[in-house]
Amino acid sequence: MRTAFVYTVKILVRDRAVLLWAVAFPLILSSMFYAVFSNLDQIYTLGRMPVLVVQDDNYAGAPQFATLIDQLGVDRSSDPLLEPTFVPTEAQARDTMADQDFLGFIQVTSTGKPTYVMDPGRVDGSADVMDPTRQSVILTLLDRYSQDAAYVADLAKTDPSKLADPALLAALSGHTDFTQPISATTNPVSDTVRYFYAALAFSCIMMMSFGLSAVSSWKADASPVGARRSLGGQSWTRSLAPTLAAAWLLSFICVLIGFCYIRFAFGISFGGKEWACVAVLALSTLVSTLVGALIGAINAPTGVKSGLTVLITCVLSAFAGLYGPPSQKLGDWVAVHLPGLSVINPVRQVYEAFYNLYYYDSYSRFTEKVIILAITAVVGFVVCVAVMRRTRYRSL
Amino acid sequence: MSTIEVKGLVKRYKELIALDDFSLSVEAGEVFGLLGPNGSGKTTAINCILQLLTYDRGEIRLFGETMSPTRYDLKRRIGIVPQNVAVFPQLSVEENIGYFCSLYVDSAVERRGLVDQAIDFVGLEEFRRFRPRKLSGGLLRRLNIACGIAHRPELIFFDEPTVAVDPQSRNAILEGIQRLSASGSTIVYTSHYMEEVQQLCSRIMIMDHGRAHATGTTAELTSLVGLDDRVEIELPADPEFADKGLEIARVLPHITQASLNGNTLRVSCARASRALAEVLAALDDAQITYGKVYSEPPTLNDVFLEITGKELRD
Ligand SMILES: Nc1ncnc2c1ncn2[C@@H]1O[C@H](COP(=O)(O)OP(=O)(O)OP(=O)(O)O)[C@@H](O)[C@H]1O
Ligand SMILES: [Mg+2]
Repeated sequence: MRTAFVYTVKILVRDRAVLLWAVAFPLILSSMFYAVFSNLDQIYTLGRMPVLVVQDDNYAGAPQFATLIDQLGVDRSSDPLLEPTFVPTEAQARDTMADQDFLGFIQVTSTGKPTYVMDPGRVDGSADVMDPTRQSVILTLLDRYSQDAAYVADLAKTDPSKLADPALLAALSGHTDFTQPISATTNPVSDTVRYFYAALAFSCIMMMSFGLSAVSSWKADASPVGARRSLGGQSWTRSLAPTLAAAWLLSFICVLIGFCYIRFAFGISFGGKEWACVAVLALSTLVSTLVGALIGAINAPTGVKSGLTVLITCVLSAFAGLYGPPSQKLGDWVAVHLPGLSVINPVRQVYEAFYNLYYYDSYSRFTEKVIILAITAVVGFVVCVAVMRRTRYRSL
Repeated sequence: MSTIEVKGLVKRYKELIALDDFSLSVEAGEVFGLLGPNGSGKTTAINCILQLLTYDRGEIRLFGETMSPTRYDLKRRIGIVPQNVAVFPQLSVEENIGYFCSLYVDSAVERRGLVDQAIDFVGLEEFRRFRPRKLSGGLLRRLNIACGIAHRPELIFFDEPTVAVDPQSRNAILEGIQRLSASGSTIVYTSHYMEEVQQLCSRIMIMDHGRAHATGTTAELTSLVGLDDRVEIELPADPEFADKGLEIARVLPHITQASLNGNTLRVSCARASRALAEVLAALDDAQITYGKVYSEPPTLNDVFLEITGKELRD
């Protein structure tokens, strides 16, 4: 048995194409997701906006404005909106702006009103798609300050008592609302993890290529080596068990690599329940090994069989939401309205197992998924045995 | 007790009858030749005997015991060198032999020795660590053989092991089979190649359309078919002499057939030695001088042609 196991591992590992895809595909897919989502986050984030502030006599004469700048940039240690750099004169501001990377400079006029001069290089033709937004945010900010200042000045002249109204003060100090759009454009964590979970579920089912390859060279009517093996003096049970075990082990190792990559290289959270995830991976690769084995047992050309695995992998993954919002909606809809279809889709079950681990503290929903996967594996095994126990064939 | 005893085997592939009441008996220690054209059912017969294919009817006994798909004990005593090279491209020469040997021999230590001997036997020492794709066709065939014989089987099936092999490799293979036979293995050898079978096999079965047409030694087969020896005599170039020679030959008692091909007189006769003397004496009497004289016994090819009505080689 051990000999058959070792030889099967060698045969599978040396099938470079199968191995390469099995190891690389989960990594490529998750890297693609990572690139897309982390870029999205960066692209649509204002970030800390670098501006120059002319710190001259006028600026000193507008202490409220100075406070605002401090608030937006210096004081707010967490998530500041501005990154102000102070220069003594307008001329120096223009020079610095030309030389270095600033959005523009802010200057307080003799009337106490702040004005903003944009760096022409960071308006229209800017390489950063968010620059126009940043410029308009700064303009709006200053505009609102001017309005508020004018309103307060007006109020001070006409009805100074209102200045003590806490509601008004609250409204006026609402400038920092500008930080809100930042978090609104960041992808909520939940949406991002969905993709990684789907990618992992996809990888698990994709590993059926090992089962396929192992059984193709095992079953008598699937290949000449299979026929040759069948003529040998070893019972089918004694040789099938190690063959499937070898295919499963390699599948498991490959998804484990993918899992570690997603978890540790990208820092995607699995709700702190990594060991439960590993158990899911072990179980789901067992399912995919058995599914692959059944496809491998079909008496058809290799190309047809690999085509079939690709088709199955892609279709089943659609219901796990791998292909973005429409596919997520489809998968969710099927899970609600046709739960039977979801139950027999191991990709969906793996995906849901991860999802439940992440969202719920209790393991009950997760356990449900694990039981479904285990039943799928048992059914797969029974069907496999029924198919593989055949030792004689009508034709080869 | 026969090593192989097949009785009344019938195998159908849908409409096509691949084996039609096929019977076979091979004794221990024999080198048995299964001679038949493409599609005559040689491979099918082997696969039925080894229980890889289902069959519609028939009885198969190996080593005196009834064969069934789960008789792994019997399968362990058998080696098979399949017609199509069946080795793993991912495994080296050594590993391939080791893998197939492991289907029969459980002990790893014992296997190591057997693999070495098999490599030595087929002369693949230099290629131990080569993958099959780096081997030439002939070397690949040798690997295929090594995989089939490493476990030292008592009974070995060789299914056309010399197809697409150069004469040198072919001789090496035939010589190897002779050595296996000498070491006590019973051998069943299928081929289209008459000379090989004639050279190698102690008994031969001629089969066609899934039927065994005749079985025996070459001599038995030729006498069974009743083919005559042939004698060719070169006569003088003058057509007058040649015609006269033909007339003389035709009337001789032992000659069954006589014809002229140019100035070569061809006669068939039941017993060449005696007939030849008669013909030559008669020609002497008629004062017809003759040149070269050839005499040859009927070949397996003639037997085959006679039995199946077609040439063996395609
Ligand atoms: N899987 C199959 N399905 C249908 N017919 C088959 C199948 N395998 C073989 N046959 C047919 O059965 C007959 C016997 O084939 P078989 O392979 O046993 O012949 P063979 O004597 O080994 O020929 P060759 O010298 O070409 O190897 C042929 O007519 C062949 O076409
Ligand atoms: Mg054949």
